[in-house]
Amino acid sequence: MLSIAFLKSSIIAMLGLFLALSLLIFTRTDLSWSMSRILWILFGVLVFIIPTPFLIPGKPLAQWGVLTISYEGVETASAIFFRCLAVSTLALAMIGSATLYDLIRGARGLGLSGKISSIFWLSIRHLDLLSHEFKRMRVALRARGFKMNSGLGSYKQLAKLSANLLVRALDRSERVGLAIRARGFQGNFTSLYQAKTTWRDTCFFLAMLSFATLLLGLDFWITQ
Amino acid sequence: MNAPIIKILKLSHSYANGTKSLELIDINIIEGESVAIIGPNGAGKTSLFLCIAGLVSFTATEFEVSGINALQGNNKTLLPKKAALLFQDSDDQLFCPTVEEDVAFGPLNQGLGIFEVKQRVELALAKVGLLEKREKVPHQLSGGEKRRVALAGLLAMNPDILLLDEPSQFLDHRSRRALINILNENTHTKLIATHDFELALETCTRAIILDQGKIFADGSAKTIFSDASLLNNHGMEVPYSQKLNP
Repeated sequence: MLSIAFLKSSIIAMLGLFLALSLLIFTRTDLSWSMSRILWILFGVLVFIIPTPFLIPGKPLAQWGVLTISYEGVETASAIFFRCLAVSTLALAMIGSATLYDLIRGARGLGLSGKISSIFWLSIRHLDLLSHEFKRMRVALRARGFKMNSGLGSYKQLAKLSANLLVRALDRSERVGLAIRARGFQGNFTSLYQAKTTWRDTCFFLAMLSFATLLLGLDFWITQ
Repeated sequence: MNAPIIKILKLSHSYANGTKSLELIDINIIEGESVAIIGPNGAGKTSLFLCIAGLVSFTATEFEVSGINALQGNNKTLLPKKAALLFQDSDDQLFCPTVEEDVAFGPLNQGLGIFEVKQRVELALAKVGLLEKREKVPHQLSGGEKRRVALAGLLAMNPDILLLDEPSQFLDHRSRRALINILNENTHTKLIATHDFELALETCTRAIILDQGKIFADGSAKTIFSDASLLNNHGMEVPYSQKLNP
């Protein structure tokens, strides 16, 4: 991810995107799940990409009145576009191919502190509980005839729902906190299965390192 | 007679807003006893359990649980190892991605080695009959299974005392029966806070009535559960089985 973030050439960034997509397929990540998220990222990135060709000065490619699209601007915009997509795809390949618990376990194995791992894990668990609580409350509202519309009443009801959700969340977090302490938790993330490096992990790491070096080397060669 | 495993004198506890939940209560529990703690909602049953498990602040003149004097130094932090608490809502208690990870959570926090933890997990899951569900996600289990996983989590910690807060709440008949069988096969000292008097009659030999933070009666379960006036005075009723066979 870091090597792709440093790429300057749009062609090499595109190659990086191709490699990231290959990795997404190789890790057997759910493609429809990934694509829906990539589309959202794409929309977010476009906000920054669209004005870039007009803002960076250079050799004119096209001109409409006072608006000029520069060659350098298009090159920079394409590079940003491919880099963002490639980095997002790599992140999705990582998140989509393992559970969050496995990722935290892996991060813990790589030396992330027990307290940070615990905070991360408990936050995820808490968000999950909040979403369940929210769904239950919405069902309860619907069961009593509430229909969401664009009227002020709906938004007031939604505000009350959110406030209630926060109170319930606090209540539940206190109970979960007690339950964790009741089982001897003292602030350190522990797991039954410790992450261990296997020969496959080493091979994968070396392959990724080679790709990263290749991309950076090609990028350096092209931009010089 | 055996020495008490729980010896509490003049225990008081208040909520953060100052409301008293327990007021100067005395309790002695003998090792191996199964005791039902009964009383209306808000009587202080859960607060009592939280105090025994060392999870909340309290005051007492004597507070000894399984040989640990909780009033001395930082001893209160040792209580969860001795008295394991089953919460009313299993969803509060299950927070790991798989059943076996959840059951292992307590023993891992006790600093045990992985081999021993795995052995304990296997034994605890076998005791509650859920060995085949070890790889499952706890939140996708039925209510009864969740309760059994939560119980396995306690058993894996190898505590001296089990504190069970409304263990049969939300359980269907089959799950409730399975739970009663597990409790009866278990030799731990058990304190069971419950509104399910039939469960209490099947699993406990002694009962304590707690109301408004005070103890009003302490005696044999059969005697207390058949005393209609005593139960009525505290907003409870004689269970059906006792009405049929007084």
